[in-house]
Amino acid sequence: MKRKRTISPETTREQLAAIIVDKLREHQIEAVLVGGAVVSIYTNNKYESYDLDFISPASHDRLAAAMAELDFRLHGKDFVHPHTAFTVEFPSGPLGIGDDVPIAAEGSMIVYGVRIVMLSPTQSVMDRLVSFFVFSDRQCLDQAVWIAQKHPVDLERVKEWAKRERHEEKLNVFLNRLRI
Amino acid sequence: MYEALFGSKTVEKCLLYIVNYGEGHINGIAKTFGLSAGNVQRQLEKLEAGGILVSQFSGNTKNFRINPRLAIKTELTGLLERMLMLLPQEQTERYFRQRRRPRRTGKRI
Repeated sequence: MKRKRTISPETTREQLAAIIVDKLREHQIEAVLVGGAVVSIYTNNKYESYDLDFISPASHDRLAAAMAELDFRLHGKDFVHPHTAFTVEFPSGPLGIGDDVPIAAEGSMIVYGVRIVMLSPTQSVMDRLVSFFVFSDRQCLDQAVWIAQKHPVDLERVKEWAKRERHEEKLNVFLNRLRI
Repeated sequence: MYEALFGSKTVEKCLLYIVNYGEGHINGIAKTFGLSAGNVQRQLEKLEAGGILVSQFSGNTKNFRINPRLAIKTELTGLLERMLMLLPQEQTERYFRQRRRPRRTGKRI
């Protein structure tokens, strides 16, 4: 029999993601974990995000119905829960990185026996670099560097992508940071 | 640290800020470093007159950035990027890590 997982203040980001993905699958809903939560996972919380962003093709009503079964309620655009500080959002899709839209998520992790589909380290680096390229956000540059320092990242692919995005100059800032 | 190279601490800070964030305006730079707006304005205008910076109005705000046509743009930004990389962590966090990516209106922080 399937064990019911409860959400508590001790529930980690990864555990919460698994509980949510599991619940969504009960409703035949697929969702991909993206954004800052993925960075937190890949950097072992060097960057700490309290948002869990999922991209899902499901309608808002279906998502809200599934989330309600976990006692999440809608607060603005965020789903909040009485027993966790983490908030959950379903930004509109499709999944993309810069001008590469749509893309398929290439990362995953298994928690509680649940497969969480998420951006891969390479995709997460590119996702962070978009904010550095477009908004000159150095926090995101740091995050991209931290991911690349902890995980194998396909730098050739990142270079090709940055060239297509016409941000080779800013990519060099990232590559120089990795060389230190 | 390299104010002798740039002529003044304020010029050095203005250039580091602008390269770090892509652009900068008088009050943003002054507030970040605790400088007087008048001092920052004088230095930015001097750099603009010298062709190092260009400016553009966005609403009432005059934003300055490195002149894209500057012949030594790549070398200058490369030097400033190197200086940014070598800054002590405390200074980096304090002055050069303001959030620039947008946050959705109403998002809980």
